[in-house]
Amino acid sequence: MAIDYPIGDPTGGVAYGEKNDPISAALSAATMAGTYTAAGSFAAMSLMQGVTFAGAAMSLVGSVTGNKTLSKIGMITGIAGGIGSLAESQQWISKTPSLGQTFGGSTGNAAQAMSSSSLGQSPSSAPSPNVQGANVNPLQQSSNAEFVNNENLARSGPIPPNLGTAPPIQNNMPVSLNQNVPPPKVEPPGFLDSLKQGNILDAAKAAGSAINPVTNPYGAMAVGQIAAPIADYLSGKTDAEIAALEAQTGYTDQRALQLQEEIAKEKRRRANLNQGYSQVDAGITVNPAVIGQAQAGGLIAGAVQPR
Amino acid sequence: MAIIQDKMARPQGDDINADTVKENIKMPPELQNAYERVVIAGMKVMFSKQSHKLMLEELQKEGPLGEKLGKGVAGLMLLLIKQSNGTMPPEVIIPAGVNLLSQAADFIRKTKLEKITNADIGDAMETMITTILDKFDVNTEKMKQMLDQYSSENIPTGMGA
Repeated sequence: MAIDYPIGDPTGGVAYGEKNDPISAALSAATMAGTYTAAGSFAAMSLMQGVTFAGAAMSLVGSVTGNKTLSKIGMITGIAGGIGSLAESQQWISKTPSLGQTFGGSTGNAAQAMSSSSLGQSPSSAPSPNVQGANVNPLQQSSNAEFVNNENLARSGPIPPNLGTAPPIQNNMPVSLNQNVPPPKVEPPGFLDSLKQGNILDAAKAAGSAINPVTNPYGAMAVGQIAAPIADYLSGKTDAEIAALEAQTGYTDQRALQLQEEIAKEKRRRANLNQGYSQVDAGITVNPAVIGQAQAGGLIAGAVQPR
Repeated sequence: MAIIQDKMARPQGDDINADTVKENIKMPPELQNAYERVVIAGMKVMFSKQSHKLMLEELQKEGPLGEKLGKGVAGLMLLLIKQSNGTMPPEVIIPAGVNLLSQAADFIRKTKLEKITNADIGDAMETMITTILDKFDVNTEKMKQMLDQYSSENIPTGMGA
């Protein structure tokens, strides 16, 4: 690819940022895709609805490219509400909500998940603890339950000698999860909150917090670049932005054409150059026979004869 | 159904055009504004002058172009979702991603950064959609298996048509 770019221009080219390519950030973002936590299933239905909106476009791409998956998705989405209904009926979407949901997932789901944990509590037997985003390990819970039982046993006084076996663990005991689960962390204000408060520094910190700049410097850089577009997104200047975008697209198209022209021009220059070297008329001819002789006049002077 | 078939009736070999793809994305009025904003934000990121070095490095990596492009746009959408602090309606994610991907494909073709074919674009779109759906706990393997059972003559019925 590099050989296609013009050379010899000390102030231009890719290395000087003259290419507004759209895939740069996207491709770099691909390396960050794995760092995101899974979104909640409650948003999946809405997402599938979005697939419906793009169904005709998928059909188009599928038919042109021969991609059967896209074609079939498009066909199904063509039926009103089809893909969402199918996803639900075929259980493509997980019925169990997951913790750590995005889009403002309520604590109710987390509480529900907690109440049906391995402790064996029925949802109605104990109040749901208000734990947000806590990742409770069932194995750990079991050991905690055992610990609590043993602790209660120890409090009850000395063990009678006739009690040879430990009492069975009561699965339905009202264990206070709050004493075993660490208190929820107090999160610093997020990107949006900081932005609303006009605290740009905190907003920038929040924007970059998801990416580790040490392990993923490009990701951190891309996140830094994305802060402004998101701020624009939040500001609601849609009409003006659309106009600017159209201008940008026009500029990009123009730049693409210009780049192609430059590449073609450089190729022509190289071709002419190579052709010129083989047919260069310097006004002198080389006589090999003279070179083979004593060359009394020196290599150059002896080899070059006037035409 | 007939309408869809008409839309699909394009001669094989046509280049997929971003404008045509955009025209075939039909957003409801209440989501149109959010959709446009997301597309604008995504395009601003994609067209950033500062990002060219990343592209060179990423494109030189091993792997099919369609896969790299699809995962790239999916990553971009996830980045937008994350940084919007949950204000982005989930309904606009896939349509905006399809739009942005077609824009990126258009640009690659125009600049000849890479030789991109229609098949690459199809693969990229499929990769992007499945990557995003995976992140939202949608079982894409199950979805593909189910789709494979259907042909154009075997559209499931009773789905609210």
